Amino acid sequence: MKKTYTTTLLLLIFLGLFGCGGSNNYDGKTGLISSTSNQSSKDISIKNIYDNVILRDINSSYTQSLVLISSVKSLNDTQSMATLETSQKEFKKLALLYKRVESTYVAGRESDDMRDIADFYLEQFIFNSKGDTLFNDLQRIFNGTGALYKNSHKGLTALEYALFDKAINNNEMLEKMNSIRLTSALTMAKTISQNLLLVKDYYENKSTFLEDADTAISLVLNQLVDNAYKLKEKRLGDGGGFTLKYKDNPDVKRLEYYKSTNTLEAIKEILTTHKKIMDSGLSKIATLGNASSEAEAIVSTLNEAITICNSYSGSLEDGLSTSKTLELYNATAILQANYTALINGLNFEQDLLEADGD
Amino acid sequence: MEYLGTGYFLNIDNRVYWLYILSALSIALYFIYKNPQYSYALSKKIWWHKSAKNDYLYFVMISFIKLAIILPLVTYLFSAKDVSLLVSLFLQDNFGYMQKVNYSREFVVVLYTLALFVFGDFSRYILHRLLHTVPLLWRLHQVHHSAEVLNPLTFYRVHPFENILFALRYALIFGLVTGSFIYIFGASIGIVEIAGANVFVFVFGVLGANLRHSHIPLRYGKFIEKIFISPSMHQLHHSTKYTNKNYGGILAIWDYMFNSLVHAKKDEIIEFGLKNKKVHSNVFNMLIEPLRR
Repeated sequence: MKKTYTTTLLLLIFLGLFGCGGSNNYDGKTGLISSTSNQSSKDISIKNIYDNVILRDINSSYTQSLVLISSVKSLNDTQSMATLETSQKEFKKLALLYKRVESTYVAGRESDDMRDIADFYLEQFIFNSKGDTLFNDLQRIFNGTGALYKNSHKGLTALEYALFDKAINNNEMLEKMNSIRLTSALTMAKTISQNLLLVKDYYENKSTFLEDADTAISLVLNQLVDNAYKLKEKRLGDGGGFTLKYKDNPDVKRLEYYKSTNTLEAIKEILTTHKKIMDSGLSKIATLGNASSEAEAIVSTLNEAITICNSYSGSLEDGLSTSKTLELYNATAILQANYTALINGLNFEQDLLEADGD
Repeated sequence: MEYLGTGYFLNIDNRVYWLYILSALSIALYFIYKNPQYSYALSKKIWWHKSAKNDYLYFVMISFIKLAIILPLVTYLFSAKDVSLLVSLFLQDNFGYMQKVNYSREFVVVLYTLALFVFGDFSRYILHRLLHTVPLLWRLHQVHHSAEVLNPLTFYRVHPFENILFALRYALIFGLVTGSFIYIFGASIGIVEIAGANVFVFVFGVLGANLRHSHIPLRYGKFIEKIFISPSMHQLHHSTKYTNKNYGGILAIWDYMFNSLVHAKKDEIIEFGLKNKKVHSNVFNMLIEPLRR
């Protein structure tokens, strides 16, 4: 009897250990299946997002930052209208490329050391309403009555202030380009480039993004939903007077690139980057997680928002008070809700029925 | 075959997953080895009792009903996914958007798993208590308590209307917890899993959850039984004497807090089932009787 018990117990323990190991998901139709194929598809999609969007965009941004340094150097050397216009053109290109990096900036979520680097203090004007103060500080620096302090040379917006002024034409702008302003612009361009190099180095050598697909998906989704929120609330809502804080009080000065009238292009670049992320793999991941309808809703809203951007005849700064801005704001509000729906949908891969009592 | 309940034995999230059955059987064999007076627990008298045969037949029937009717109905009416989305959007609209701070994913996953477990178990306690104390609901729940002998499939001896109540409870609690977590943590949430199952489901299953509906009065000791419901405590709940005690699922703290906790007295002989044994004498009666009176 004792022997029978021992043998049976040993057999059961063996079977138990067998049952604990490996993939034993059951899909209700095909018996025991492995989740390996889904995992591998997720890994491929994440790699696509990384290679085709994140890495590509940081490389393009860094390369463009070198072009910008070169053009600002030329501006320093010649102080001509042509070099000013070239610098302005190259700045606009970098600002748009940087929007791509910023939209998908998962490095700041992976590593605390990387969190502030990509901000470039670019948005503190908008987010902390410090714009006037910093612009005043910058003006004091350019007038020779103040010095570049810790953060004032880090931001794209600071460089924008050095190179642009919507209120005056370029002839007058050129006259304002004294040596301090020119040197400061070059320092700012170099700092931005150095920071981009740090980000590039991080993505190429230190990031753990590809190590775990599930963590990577959560990083990307959190980044996109936060970015969509900022797009709606800060880039459009505050300027357009749609937020509680600035209700019915639109002001172009609250737009991100109002001095270079580049805000609409920047918004379009953000939307386009979101679409690239969807196309490169996030839609596929959503399909694998039974959340394809949520992904389709996102793509459709992105298309709608991009169409609204394209329908402006001029800049957002000039067309801020038109009904299109409210339409664009509403589309981005839906986009943010759609990302929440996708996060939610991916958490419920299948309809579960837990209907038993006890 | 799925509609006949076979999937329950192959899905690691289900109580009667084959590994959990094996594990319960191992524990039972060891228990009987140490306490031979309980060897009747494996006897034909228990496993081929009329009540047990009803359990087997009812299991097949209710599996079909759940898959063909209850799942589509509940999913259509009130799914956890819908509740969760509504909760996240409601919180966002009323308390503002919360930027997704970089908490450690491990921390969020552990916290979410714990929250689901605690809120889920508490909601089970409340619903279970209501099933006993509200006369209309007790009519439904009597189907489960009408089992005169216990076996793992007795767990599924539940009236379809009670299944719907439990499914709605699941949707509500899972949706509320998940929606709140998504509002705060975004996409960082997840479940701590072992071999693809929720860690609590797995551990509970491997430690002999199936013995709750058995004739093996396994006890954990008085102190642990203030925290966790042992198989013996749940068997007391199925007795005619202590039906209104030990409502807890996994945690006993709810019974302890709300004065419904009872421990078995040593060698106390307990009788399972209802006082009126004739009411749920066959599978058809189990379905119809609660609606007729």
